[in-house]
Amino acid sequence: MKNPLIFLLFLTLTTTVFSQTGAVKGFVVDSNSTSLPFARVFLKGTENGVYTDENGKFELSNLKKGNHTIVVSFYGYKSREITFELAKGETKQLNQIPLQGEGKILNKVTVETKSITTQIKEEPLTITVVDVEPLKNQNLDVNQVLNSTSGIRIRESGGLGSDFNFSLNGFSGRQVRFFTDGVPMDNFGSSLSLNNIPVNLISRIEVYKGVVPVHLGADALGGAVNIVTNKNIGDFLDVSYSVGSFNTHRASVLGRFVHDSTGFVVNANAFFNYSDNDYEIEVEIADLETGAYGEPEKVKRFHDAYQSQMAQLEVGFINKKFADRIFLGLVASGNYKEIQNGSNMTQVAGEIFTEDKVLMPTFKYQKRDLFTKGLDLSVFANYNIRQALTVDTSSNIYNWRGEFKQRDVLSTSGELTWYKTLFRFDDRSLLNTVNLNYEINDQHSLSVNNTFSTYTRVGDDPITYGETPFKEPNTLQKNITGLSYQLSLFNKRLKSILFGKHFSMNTDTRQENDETGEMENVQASLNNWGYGVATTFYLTENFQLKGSYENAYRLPDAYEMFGNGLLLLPNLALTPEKSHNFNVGFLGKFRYRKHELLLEGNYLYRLPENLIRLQAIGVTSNFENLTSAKANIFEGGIKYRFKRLFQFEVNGTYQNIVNNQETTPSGGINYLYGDRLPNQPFLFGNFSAGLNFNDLGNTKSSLSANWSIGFVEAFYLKWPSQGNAASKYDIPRQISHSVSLSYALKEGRYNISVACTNLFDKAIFDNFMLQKPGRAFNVKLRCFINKKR
Amino acid sequence: MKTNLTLGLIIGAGVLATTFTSCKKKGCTDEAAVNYDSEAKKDDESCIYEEDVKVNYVMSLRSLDASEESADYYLTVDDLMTGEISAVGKGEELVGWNYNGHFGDTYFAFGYDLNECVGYKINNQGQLVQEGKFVFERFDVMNEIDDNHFLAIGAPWGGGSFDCQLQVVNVQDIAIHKNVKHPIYEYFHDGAQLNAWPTSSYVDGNKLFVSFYPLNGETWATPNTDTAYISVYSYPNLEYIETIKDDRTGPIGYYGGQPCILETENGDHYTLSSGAMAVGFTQATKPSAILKISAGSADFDDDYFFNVEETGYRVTSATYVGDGLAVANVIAIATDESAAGVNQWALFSEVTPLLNTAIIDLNAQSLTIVNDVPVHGGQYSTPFLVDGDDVYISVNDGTDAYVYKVNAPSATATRGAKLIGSQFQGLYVGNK
Repeated sequence: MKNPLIFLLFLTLTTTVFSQTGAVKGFVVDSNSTSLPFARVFLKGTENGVYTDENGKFELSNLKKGNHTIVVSFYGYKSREITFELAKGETKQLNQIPLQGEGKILNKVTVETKSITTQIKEEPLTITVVDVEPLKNQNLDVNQVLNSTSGIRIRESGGLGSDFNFSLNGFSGRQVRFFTDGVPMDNFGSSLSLNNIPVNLISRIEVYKGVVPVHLGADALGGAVNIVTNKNIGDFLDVSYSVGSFNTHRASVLGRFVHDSTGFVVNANAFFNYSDNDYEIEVEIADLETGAYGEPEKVKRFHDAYQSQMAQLEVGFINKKFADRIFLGLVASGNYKEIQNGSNMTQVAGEIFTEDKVLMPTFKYQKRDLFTKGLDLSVFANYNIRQALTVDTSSNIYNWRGEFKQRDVLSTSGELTWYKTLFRFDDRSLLNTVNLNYEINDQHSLSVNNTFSTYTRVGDDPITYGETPFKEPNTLQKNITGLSYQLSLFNKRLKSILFGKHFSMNTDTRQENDETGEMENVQASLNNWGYGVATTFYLTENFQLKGSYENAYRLPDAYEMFGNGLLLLPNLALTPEKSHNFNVGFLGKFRYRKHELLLEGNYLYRLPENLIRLQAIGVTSNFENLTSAKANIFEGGIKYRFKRLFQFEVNGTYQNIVNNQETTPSGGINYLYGDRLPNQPFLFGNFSAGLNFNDLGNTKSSLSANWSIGFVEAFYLKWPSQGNAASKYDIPRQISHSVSLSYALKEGRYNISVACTNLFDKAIFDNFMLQKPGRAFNVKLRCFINKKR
Repeated sequence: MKTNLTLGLIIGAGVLATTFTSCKKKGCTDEAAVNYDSEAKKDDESCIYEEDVKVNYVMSLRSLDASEESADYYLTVDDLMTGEISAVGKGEELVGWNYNGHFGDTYFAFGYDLNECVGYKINNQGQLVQEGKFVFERFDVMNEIDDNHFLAIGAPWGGGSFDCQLQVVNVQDIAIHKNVKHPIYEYFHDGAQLNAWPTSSYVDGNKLFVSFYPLNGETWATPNTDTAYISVYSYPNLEYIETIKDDRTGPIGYYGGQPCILETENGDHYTLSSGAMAVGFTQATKPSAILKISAGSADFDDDYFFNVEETGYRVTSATYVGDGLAVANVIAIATDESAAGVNQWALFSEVTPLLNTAIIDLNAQSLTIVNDVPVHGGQYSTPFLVDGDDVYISVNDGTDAYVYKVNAPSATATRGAKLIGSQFQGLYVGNK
């Protein structure tokens, strides 16, 4: 049996055809009967084990007849052992296995960070699960956590609250969709953006590369990110506060109350973020009179403050006959943001700011085994009331010293906007998503999802000289339905998903008639079909191959279709972007005594077409279906852990995304065919290492030290082939180091952490000329109280 | 081979010399020299230079239609007539799209993305080197005023202010030396003040002449197209004197700093009123025509009127060659009207072929279409380079772009080098 393939074949044959060995199946839940995904189940005294799937189910096969003991564990919960007897070839179905919360989650978090192997979900889809538990006591935000994941590059334009561009395997902006607990974050507004959510609220982040599962129900061209909040623990109170450089303060209070006998639950969360963002940058400063630039000077940013706050209250019941979970909630959030510069450093602003407010009632419902066993229903709905304001009313021209003069001409222009503006828009949006999952038997299951959203925007600008955008309401409706079929064969060694999605979109906009000049209602609708297949095969228990293909679509969104009513013209003829996405990859987990090693590699091939890009004509611009591209993407990572003492991780991504458009829109030869798309990172990676010590200085305490390096190779702003290299504008190579030290007391009840980002105080850039903060320090204090049960 | 050998000997000698003298750390410290010694700390005046490398032409090439990723490249070009001209691996990158200008010995790029002007000079290696840069509020029309200065006019927008910026830029300092705020012309239409959008300028003696066209200024509507206007200022003080008018034709020039004023050998000036629609006008009420302002005069010549429209064409831009001849871009009247029906700015698309090239005889008042040049797209600030009786132009027929050399006396043209790009946006003589 030297040849593993023959061995494997033999194994497969023996297990599936002759079925001489038995198996055990079960379902792991928490004390609220909520399923526990990724719980570890293994045969006592062996390395033979599996993880529960996303529904908390598991199956352990290749068991000989006789008595067996399995150990079920999930971090933050007390392990359980279950003993059963198996006849020859029998498949035993166990009762629900509830795990009790340990009441010392934090201890687990900081001291016994869970096995690295649980971080990757074992599904046919190419997915990376970022476990944020170990990161909670470091003062990181979601962007920083995601930015160290392979394939992901987040380009920030500045400090806390600054604009950022999320890119996943080369797709960016609206091509990647975001979710919290499966609910799309579309139309949430900037006060509820990715970066504002406190890490403490999150239990894990799922990053889908390419194929987006049907249950997320969205049109994503390049993948999706699903933030999963912590639902599986009982009463707790989590209070944290951090203070750092640039007058940065962040506070969060998260709490939950569960009334055991009635199943009544109250969730209350609140956060507050503030920063002056007055970090130092080095710029050439232009003389206000002659315009001439001086030598580079170090100055502090002076108009870049940011504040955001959010409060959320949710009440409901769990474990009722009519529902496993039913919740009504209300989210209120808001932010205030000063704008310091435009998309480059020559446009300095000293007075512009924006505000955004959201009030959002929510409804959640989940029921397992509805009407019949195996039929699970979940419904989410929210109604979003949003008001946003942009204020740019100054006639001053600023330079980086904060000096200013009045404009000579263009007195109707603001600092950055073409017309001075007090633009306020009101959004009303409704989102409803329904998931139905039916597990027919062990081999077959079906999922159906429908996501419906409608969105209306009305704008008002009392001072503009131009046309007020969205003066009349514009409406956009999307309806996305997906159906998927999951097949599991050879004792779950081979799992496949086949799926189809239907996208439809209706718009009702107010447009000026070209001939009459009158405003009139214009209706448009679009329909598209997407489909795909994903499969995974376990060569061994610990080595998995994955492959998937999707014909993906993304519908143009409101901004792209409607324009902004000013110089961005509408284009109702926009067609969806589409892409053929091919993914193959492997995932291997190895364990030898106290050593754990995880290897992961993916190759992604993408053929996006009709990419929606901005095009300028005369003084106006609009979105058009312009470019086609071809992407070859390689990414890989290694994680290693020795006991609980030491771990390190390295990952890297190389993405060669080239222009695949042979002709120009006017039919001429495209001389840039084959050229790498500009202004996009193509080579980047991360390294991190950590040490953990227990019972240091005090019993039940722990100390951990972490060091991480982020690397992004330099890339050009414009097409790489053009111009001599010395003169080309670029975004320089970025290497930034961060270190942090965390100390936890009383099994994690109290935590303190100190961190330093950009340790060597380098001038680092994500975007052309836009310098990011230099060395910054912060201290975070966190207290976590969990009721013992 | 012989020159290589000689060069080799010179270099060899230099190397030997520096080897022997290296202990004193003296030698040639100029990196540009053939015998540059990187170890020498003190210059001993031993530097040997190759003869300065000369550059025939400087071109600003645009590699693709204006989009987020597009950029222009300043190239040195030796041959405009054969092969291909491309920016692959060469040329100075300019951020985004630009207007260009050549004033004194400096080549300027006026960036649209950064509101930044960068000046380049040719060094003795025949390379373009960035000499300086400055930031501006608004530059719309750039024209030479003397050997050391050019005038950049910034136009107002939006109706809040009607002042223009008349900015004098020093070519050596590469900085704005003077900035005068003044409305070019105050004009009311239906009780509302119109904007005066500058189109070109020239200096004659102690006067500065600025042509413009009236437009709504909050929109691109042009409610007044009945008169040709030029505002006259004192020079060098830039004080407003008067506005001269002529109602035989419409406004002179249009958006985008087009060449619309021609200067002859004896200092007369001819002005072009396009009378066209697809150049950004919402109406055309007077014929396309050419007017004359004689040298030393500050008024239109009543005796001169060339009604271009009678030839069946409208003139959109031109450059003066000599002996009364000019090379021009013209559009057939019917083509103009149908194109404007589709897009008010149709003539700014370099890939929409609408224009013919023509020879205009200002004295004989005749127009001859140059059939050798295909119908081609329009450009911002249409570039012409005059070389004797020939004029080099950028021609994009909708799919391919070429340099064309137009011979004015014979009204013929020769297709030259292929442009690996959509157009050249500037073409100037080098330092030869």
